[in-house]
Amino acid sequence: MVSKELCREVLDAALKSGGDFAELFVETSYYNNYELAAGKITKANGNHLFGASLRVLKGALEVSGYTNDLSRESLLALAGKLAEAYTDARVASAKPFAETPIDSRHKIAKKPADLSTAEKVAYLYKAYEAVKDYSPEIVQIIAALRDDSQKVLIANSEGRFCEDERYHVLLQTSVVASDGKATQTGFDSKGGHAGYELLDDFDIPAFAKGVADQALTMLHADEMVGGVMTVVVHNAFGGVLLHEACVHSLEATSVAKGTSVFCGKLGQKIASDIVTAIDDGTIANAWGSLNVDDEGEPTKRNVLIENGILKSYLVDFRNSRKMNHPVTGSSRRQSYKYSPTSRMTNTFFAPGKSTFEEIIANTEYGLFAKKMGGGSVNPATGEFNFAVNEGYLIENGKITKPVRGATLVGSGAEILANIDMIADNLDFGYGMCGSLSGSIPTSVGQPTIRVKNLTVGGRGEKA
Amino acid sequence: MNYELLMNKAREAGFEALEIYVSKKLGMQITVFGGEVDQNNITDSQSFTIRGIYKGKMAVYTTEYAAEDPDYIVERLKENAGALTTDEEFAIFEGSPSYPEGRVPNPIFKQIAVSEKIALLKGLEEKIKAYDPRIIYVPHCRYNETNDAVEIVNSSGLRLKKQNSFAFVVAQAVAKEGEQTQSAFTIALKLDYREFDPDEIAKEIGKKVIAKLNAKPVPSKSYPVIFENEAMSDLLSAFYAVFSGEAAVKKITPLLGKEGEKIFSEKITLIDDPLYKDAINYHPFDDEGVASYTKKVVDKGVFTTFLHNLKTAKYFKTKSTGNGFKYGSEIGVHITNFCLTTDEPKKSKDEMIKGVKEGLLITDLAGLHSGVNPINGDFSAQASGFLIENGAVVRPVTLIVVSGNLLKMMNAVDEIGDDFKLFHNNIGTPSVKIAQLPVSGL
Repeated sequence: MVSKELCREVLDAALKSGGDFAELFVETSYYNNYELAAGKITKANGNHLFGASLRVLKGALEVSGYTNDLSRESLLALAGKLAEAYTDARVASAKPFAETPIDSRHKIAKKPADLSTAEKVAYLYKAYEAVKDYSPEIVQIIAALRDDSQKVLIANSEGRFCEDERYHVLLQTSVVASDGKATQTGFDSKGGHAGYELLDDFDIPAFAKGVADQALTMLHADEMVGGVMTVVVHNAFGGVLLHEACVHSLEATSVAKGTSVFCGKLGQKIASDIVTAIDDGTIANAWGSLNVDDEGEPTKRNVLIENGILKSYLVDFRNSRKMNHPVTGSSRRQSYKYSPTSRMTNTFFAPGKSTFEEIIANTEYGLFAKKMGGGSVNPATGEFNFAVNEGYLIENGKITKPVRGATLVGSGAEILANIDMIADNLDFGYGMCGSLSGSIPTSVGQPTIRVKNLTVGGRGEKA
Repeated sequence: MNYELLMNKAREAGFEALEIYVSKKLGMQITVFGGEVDQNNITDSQSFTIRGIYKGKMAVYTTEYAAEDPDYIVERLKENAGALTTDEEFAIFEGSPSYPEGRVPNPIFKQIAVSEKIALLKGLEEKIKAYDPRIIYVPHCRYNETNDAVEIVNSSGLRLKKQNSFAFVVAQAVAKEGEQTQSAFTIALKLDYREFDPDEIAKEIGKKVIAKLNAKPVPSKSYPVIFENEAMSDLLSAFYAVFSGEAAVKKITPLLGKEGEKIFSEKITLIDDPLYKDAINYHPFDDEGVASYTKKVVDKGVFTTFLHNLKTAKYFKTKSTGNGFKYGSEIGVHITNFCLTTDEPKKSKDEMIKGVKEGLLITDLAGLHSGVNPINGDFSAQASGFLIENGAVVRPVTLIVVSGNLLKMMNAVDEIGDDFKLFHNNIGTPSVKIAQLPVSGL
């Protein structure tokens, strides 16, 4: 994409007026989107991202810029423009590159470019065919497929030079069910840092039927009656709670500024004893995994909370300078158009000692949140909200009836302290996480957990 | 990119029509934290979105690589169009008879030195902190400037250009009292740099965040609810898809088949206004080249029309309403400036509060992207605001959930305020009082 010689020349030029660190990120990526609606292929689009971003640090101050023109003139002009932001004498030069070849942990058998459009949309038909005659109450089926192939070059003035390739495939299915009066939607997704072999090894019909069941069950559910109660959050995508409510507040973006509720709490107890939380970017072919982060730092398995004690934040290079905390291989960006910062990869609660059945049997009254929807958190206050896409009432230790329209609200610090049971059934879900450095693939995961005293919202009126 | 060469190659390959949409963006973002510049980014990018119709089907390919091989582009488009089986009819636009006047971008943003923009932010951060000793952080204090240029070139001979320049300042303040932390955001969007008033921004956000301190939930039950204008705009923003022709084609809107019917209280009129004079979002034509015009979507409670792009209009055998806008690389259906108005008498927010015996003034909604279902109109959103008792605001409220259904709620509109404002989400609305909504809290 850009020769090593030119990389070094650009990095060096960027440092001429006092910057102490420069980094060049070059990217060429192909994104494809396919969609099936009402049994027809309605969308088949491609997108080619192409550009380079250069940033120059002086301490923790960052000056950066990007361009689509990768010629020598253009990159040197960008370096010159960025260097103008500093007015001091040179303090650093670009060191010779020590090349670090990447031995990918992620085996990719069927790269997106190896398949024709017809071969790809066949996966969408598989989802559609499985549920098209499933129930007369199904009024719409939308299946979407997205793949991306990203080639990156990361070079910095400390001598780092690496090139990596990343591949993602994501299948999403929504089913809309209606009885003429009410309408409900089911949704689920399957993704990986993988090629299309991911979907060959996956039971798409069973997956699509699960989505349809969700819509049909919720169609015939009562509206949730709100209040404060015990909530059992199921495994896999239930981990969105940990992701949003807790770990966003452990990202350097909020910790470095001193604004997170978890600031200054390393080594302190922030969760109940049974809680261990991990962010692991190394899991082979997992949706949120990377060989190296977007600063070229190898990803790691970061234990964030161990038996209730805060062990680590998620920290990128620039924030490590502010926080005096080692980097954690967590620096990510949607594309060259975003400045990289600390983000999650695959984040999950470690399995506990209870079983799913024990948790339900030990709950007198509460909500079983089987499928969570999305949510958001305000890192400054820790307050969060989540939609429950598929919920059931628990009464006297038994799951009794489906309920719809439930929402969970609370604060992250509170929820960590109120987790009192964790099951042994760890599983993962797939999401796109949006934050300062754009929208990136992240896995959320957990075994089934039980949380006491959570506020549940709902449209139902008390009988 | 050589547009003529690309159009010729496409024609030779059997394409019926081709369009090239060129976007050029120049911008800058500066953030200040703790009295110092934290980040200073300059951005320069361009993209070419190529839409081609082959055997009646349209595929889209977007590239940022100006030197991309035209044969490769044509090949990608042909393969993708060939995979489509949809019955939808596609069109590349031949042009409108006339167009509203375009906007001449204000050159002021380029004339103001970077050092002055930095000084504006440093001053703003200082002023927010000085507003009240309980304000402990200003985690975000950012200046963002955008200069956009768009060009549409197509095989029907259409050539259109539009430009826009604007900037915004966004700030977040965090206040603490006792064990409670609260935060508030504000965004000031301007078409002229000289209109930024840091004193006004600091006062607005300072007042907002301090008022929230010591908030707590209220008991779960139904309350009369006044949505303050900004919260109302956020709620409407999560629901605009119900008016989209795209949702109608997919049968995923509760308004399907309801054109001409009364769907909301007769107090409600909704207007989509791409030509709103002082709006940031000003469009003489949409992203397909269709001339813009102002239209009522709901007129005194009656649903008049879905919003359409060329494709959805064809499906419903009607004309595009000029609402075809790019989202990512695809042309979807989007609102421009969406305004809630009324012909009924309006009340001031204070008068509305005075009429409430026990109720809530909702000032903030969170989690709308997941708490709203535009397919059936249901919503459940994390909310905060104030408790009203006997006609007066008595205390702040937080961590509650307000739930309802858009259609039912818009039929239960009691009163409409006189405080209309167009917000950064392109929704303009006054405060609106709803008779009753279920609230979950304690």
